[in-house]
Amino acid sequence: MLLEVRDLRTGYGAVEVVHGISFELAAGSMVGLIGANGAGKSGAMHAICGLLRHTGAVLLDGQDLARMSAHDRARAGLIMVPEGRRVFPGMSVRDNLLSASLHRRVRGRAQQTLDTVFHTFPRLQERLNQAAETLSGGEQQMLAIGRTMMGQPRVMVLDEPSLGLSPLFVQEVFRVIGALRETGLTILLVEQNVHHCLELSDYAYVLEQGHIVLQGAASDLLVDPRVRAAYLGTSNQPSEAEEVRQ
Amino acid sequence: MLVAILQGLISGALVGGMYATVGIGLTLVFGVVRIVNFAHGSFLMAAAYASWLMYERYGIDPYLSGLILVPSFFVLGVAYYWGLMRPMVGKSLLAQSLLTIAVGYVIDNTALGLFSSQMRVVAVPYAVASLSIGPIALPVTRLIAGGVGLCATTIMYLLLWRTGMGIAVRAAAADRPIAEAMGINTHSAQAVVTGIGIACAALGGVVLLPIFAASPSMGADFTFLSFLIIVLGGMGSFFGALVGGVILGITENLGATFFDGSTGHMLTFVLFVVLLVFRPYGVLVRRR
Ligand SMILES: Nc1ncnc2c1ncn2[C@@H]1O[C@H](COP(=O)(O)OP(=O)(O)OP(=O)(O)O)[C@@H](O)[C@H]1O
Ligand SMILES: [Mg+2]
Repeated sequence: MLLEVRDLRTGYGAVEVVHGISFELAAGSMVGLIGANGAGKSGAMHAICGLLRHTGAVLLDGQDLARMSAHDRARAGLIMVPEGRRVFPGMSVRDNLLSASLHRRVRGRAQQTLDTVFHTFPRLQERLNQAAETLSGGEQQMLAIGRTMMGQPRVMVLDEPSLGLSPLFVQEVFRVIGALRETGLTILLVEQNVHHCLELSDYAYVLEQGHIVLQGAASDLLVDPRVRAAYLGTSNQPSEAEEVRQ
Repeated sequence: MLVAILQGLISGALVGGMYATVGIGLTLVFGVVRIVNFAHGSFLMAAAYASWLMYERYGIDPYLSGLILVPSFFVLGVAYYWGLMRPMVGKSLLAQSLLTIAVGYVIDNTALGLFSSQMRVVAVPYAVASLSIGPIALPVTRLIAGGVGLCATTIMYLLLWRTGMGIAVRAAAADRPIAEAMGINTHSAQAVVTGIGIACAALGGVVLLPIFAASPSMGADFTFLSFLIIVLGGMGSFFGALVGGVILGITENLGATFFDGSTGHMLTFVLFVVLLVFRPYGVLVRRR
């Protein structure tokens, strides 16, 4: 397993919001994490990336990152695309991209990686000197993904990349995620857009109130009556659902 | 009359270039670390005294002592960040301000205790030398102050806007957690910025010493002056700080030329009050 998270507990201040969850990602796979608003998805992602204090183990290729600072985890290759994009305001598109490629492991190849990013997102190249906050929401999402690509992640953690985007951009974002996956990148995808998420993923976990309540092959979850009822808004699929087992 | 005005303008502007550097040192630390360093001027004063001491004891030229003092104060600034400021990052404005005010207070009163309130001058032979351009005589020390100030400002600008370190610093200032998540050691970035800020203050202390002499009240004076430059120029703006520094230098100098030294000094306060009335949010313009 490339990424293995064991018994992760985290929260905000004294309030625990993730109550001991475990999940894993095989190299080259794409794993989905779905759950309602406030289930603790972002909390869990911030924790594994080192932005929230936590207990439990976060093993990247066997190495436990749990005691490391956020910047050391990113340097090791566990890098997120944060919810809400969070591009650096007041900085150009170019500087936003370069911000993730300053450390030793990737510095030398920054120019090649930049070319890859431009190949994936030609729009960014056109807007290289524009201030990041003046980009449209969809373009900012592309910048946020491109920025994380610049750090040459071993595991990319995407937290709700389609949030607040127009349908056209949602399609575009999922197309890019699919393309990244094709390149062999290991991806952990947190999504409200459950249908899209399960269609793209190999495996998925369902998080409810800080607990993992369901997990399985994404194709199985897609037809699971509980998932359909809670997240896909359709529960009447009797024939298919009966065939599905945990 | 005209010559006097021109003379006042130019020599005021030259000193203003150095003021700008000192002001940028303060605004840089605030912009990145988000802590107002009320001890800024006190570090300047400490460097001025250190330079004076080196001249008195060992006869080291004040500009030469800068070569030792400015890097030393950079290191001191880095230590200041790790030791005192870092624990205050993200704390309340009151807690942060009390800390830096206390540091300034300790430095100011240590200086008062060690050196008394007497003005300390370095009696270098070139302190009275000047370059004549027609009827206008420009003191060499002021020319140096203007030149050094402009160079320091340019170097800092390039450092911040043209290097990887500058990207790290700006990212840390824009969104600290996300900068961390992108692999930037934000505490190191903030420590370096604090070091640069304190080094700017030290540079000001060293370069202004041959012009103004050292005294314990310098600390509070220059902290205030740095704020004024920031308000004049707009928070975080290099060009603004340069303009602010020059305006301030000119105001002070013309006031001193036509009235007397203390009036010139007072005029800067008047300028501050007028500014606050017409641009009450000047200091906070760039704050999100
Ligand atoms: N900064 C914070 N301080 C305190 N509580 C927080 C904070 N952020 C989130 N929470 C709480 O923690 C819980 C989990 O939040 P989290 O953001 O992890 O949920 P999520 O699954 O990502 O939801 P969403 O789909 O809305 O992004 C929620 O109850 C939320 O109110
Ligand atoms: Mg979330």
